[in-house]
Amino acid sequence: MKLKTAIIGLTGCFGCQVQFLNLEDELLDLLEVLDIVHFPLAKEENSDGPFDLALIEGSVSTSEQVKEVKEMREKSKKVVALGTCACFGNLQGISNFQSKEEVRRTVYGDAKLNYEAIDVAPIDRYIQVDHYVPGCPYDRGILIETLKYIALGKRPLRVDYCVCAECKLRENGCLLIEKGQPCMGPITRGGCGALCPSYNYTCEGCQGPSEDAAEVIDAYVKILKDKGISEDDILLKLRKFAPLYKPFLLKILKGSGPPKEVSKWKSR
Amino acid sequence: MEIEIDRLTKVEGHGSLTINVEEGKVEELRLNIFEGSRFFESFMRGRRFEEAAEMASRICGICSYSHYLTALKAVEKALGVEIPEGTVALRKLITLAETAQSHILHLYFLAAADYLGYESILAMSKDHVEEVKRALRLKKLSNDILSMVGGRSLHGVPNALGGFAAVPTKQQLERMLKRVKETDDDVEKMLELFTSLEVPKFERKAEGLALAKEGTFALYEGEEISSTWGASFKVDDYQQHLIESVVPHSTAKHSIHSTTGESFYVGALARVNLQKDHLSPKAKEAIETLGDKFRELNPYINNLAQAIEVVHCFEEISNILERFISGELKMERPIEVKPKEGEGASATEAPRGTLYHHYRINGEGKITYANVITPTAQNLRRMEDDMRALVPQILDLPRDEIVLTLEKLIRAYDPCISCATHFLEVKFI
Repeated sequence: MKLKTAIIGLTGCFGCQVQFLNLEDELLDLLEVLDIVHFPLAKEENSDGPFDLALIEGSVSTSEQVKEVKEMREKSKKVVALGTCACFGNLQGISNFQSKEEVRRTVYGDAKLNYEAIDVAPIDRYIQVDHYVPGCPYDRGILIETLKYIALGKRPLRVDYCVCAECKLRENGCLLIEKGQPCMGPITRGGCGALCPSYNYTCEGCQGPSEDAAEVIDAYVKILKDKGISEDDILLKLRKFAPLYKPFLLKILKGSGPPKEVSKWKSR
Repeated sequence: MEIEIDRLTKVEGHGSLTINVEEGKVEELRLNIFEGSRFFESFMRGRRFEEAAEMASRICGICSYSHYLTALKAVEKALGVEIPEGTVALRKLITLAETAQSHILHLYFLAAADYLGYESILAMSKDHVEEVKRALRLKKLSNDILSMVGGRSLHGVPNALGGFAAVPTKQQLERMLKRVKETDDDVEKMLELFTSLEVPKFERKAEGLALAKEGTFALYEGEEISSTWGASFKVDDYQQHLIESVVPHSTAKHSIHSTTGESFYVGALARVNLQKDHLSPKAKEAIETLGDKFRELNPYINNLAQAIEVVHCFEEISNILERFISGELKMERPIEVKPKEGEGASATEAPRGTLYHHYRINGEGKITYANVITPTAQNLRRMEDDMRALVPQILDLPRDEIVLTLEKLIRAYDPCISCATHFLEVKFI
């Protein structure tokens, strides 16, 4: 039995859906396992469900999307959060730290608009998520593995190591310790194959926080400070791809004061 | 008669179409855009200048590199950094590969099914498995070129400010050149397919705009915008020429050209119309062979213009790879870029048309102002104007046909709604 599959996008860049179409070598084989019945980006005819599997890209940022994501949950046996927007909120989460009025004025000036947007949130603020495939974009191989396990009825393997583990395997020099650059590898989930450090650039955290990020964050921040990175620049790093992740959020809130309205939101 | 397409499919982003026709006249026509917003221009303020391109890349998952390079170009301009030829050539390689990748995605995955009578490429794969495999091969090759230079096929490694911090090896370039050469047959068959599709007959006089650079088919380089109606302007003056306005039914702004007071079009068709002479030999030959079939004023022809650009892209990619391999072009070391106060506006040709980025940076290297105008935002008004002209001509068709004709038109523009609305989400009182 093929899995009746839905692929949808909330607020994001659509890249994670494109990344699915980028599975050039596997796409035709995948269609033997997945019956993609709902995929508005690529299909004219889209089923209303129910689904065995829903792959959801993007963060929630409008009240309509709250409804949409809840409906998708009700209709689907398994839900996969696809990409860093769906898993952690991604860059657009940064706007939660700015006042809504300020954001509106930046874009519109004095135009009279009834501005209606809600705080950006990862999808698991509203629904239960079965599996996470973070990354901006996610690694194609990891998605394939995840889908394979789901098709087999098993729990997908988790990437429980940070970028540094992969960086060591590639025998890269350490940008943080040796060069004093603010590399986010130690607190970032692996899965990308330590891509950026291998291209001679610091990890910026696009795969989202590693599983033990909460435990190592204090030590990590201390290293950055010892290396002479300013408090302000450290906070910018945390307020980037996963600004709504609680251990990062707590650091940001303790640091150089964002607007007070931030404190009212719940975080996971 | 009312025509309502609730959810436009096979376009990138969220939109719908409402048309109300009374006695053969279009009373109301709205391309409703309800994409969720991400406020890039707002949250990029206060970020470091090194992050501009990396963050801008996330505006779009189809043309991430266009946003990335346009932002780089603007930031480097703001900081007065001159980029050497070799680095420019590597960036052109990225632009060419991304243009090919995006066009192939659009042509095969979003547009072709309409013409071949399928609901999607997934459905098409049952009867046309060879075509689908070809699409996948061409897409994979373009994506692999992007990965070779930028690290991955979308949202590349942000290591290119002032030049790439890591560059491909000669062996990688040679292997890639071999693959590009082997793909000639696929490219030819691709062109054949899209030449064979009968597009609806429709023409409307409109102004096309595209980046220009003397002697080249400008995609990455260029500081001037040329027009099919003759007047050109400097990219630096874009704000005087593109007048953006907010319309109630769209979370993306609309643009008009101040000189004409009218909507205009950008994208493959505008580029090919304006820069035909600078196409690669095979692409030029293709367009000459097409002759009258290439109707410059028919927006549906944009698909064919994209196919021609794919031919151009692969030929140019070969050319650049060869020049690197022969040593004519050299891989350059990155220039160290230091923060200082500055301002820069830039434009490149993204797959869907001219893309503008504009930044101000303060002495500490923090971004104090960011502005982005995407191709789709520029095309939106023109899409509505075209449909307003087209609808009265097709009212005799059965309802399903009317809807399909309109959907084909919208898809012909290859709109990227999530790009166009990276900045706002509004509801009017």
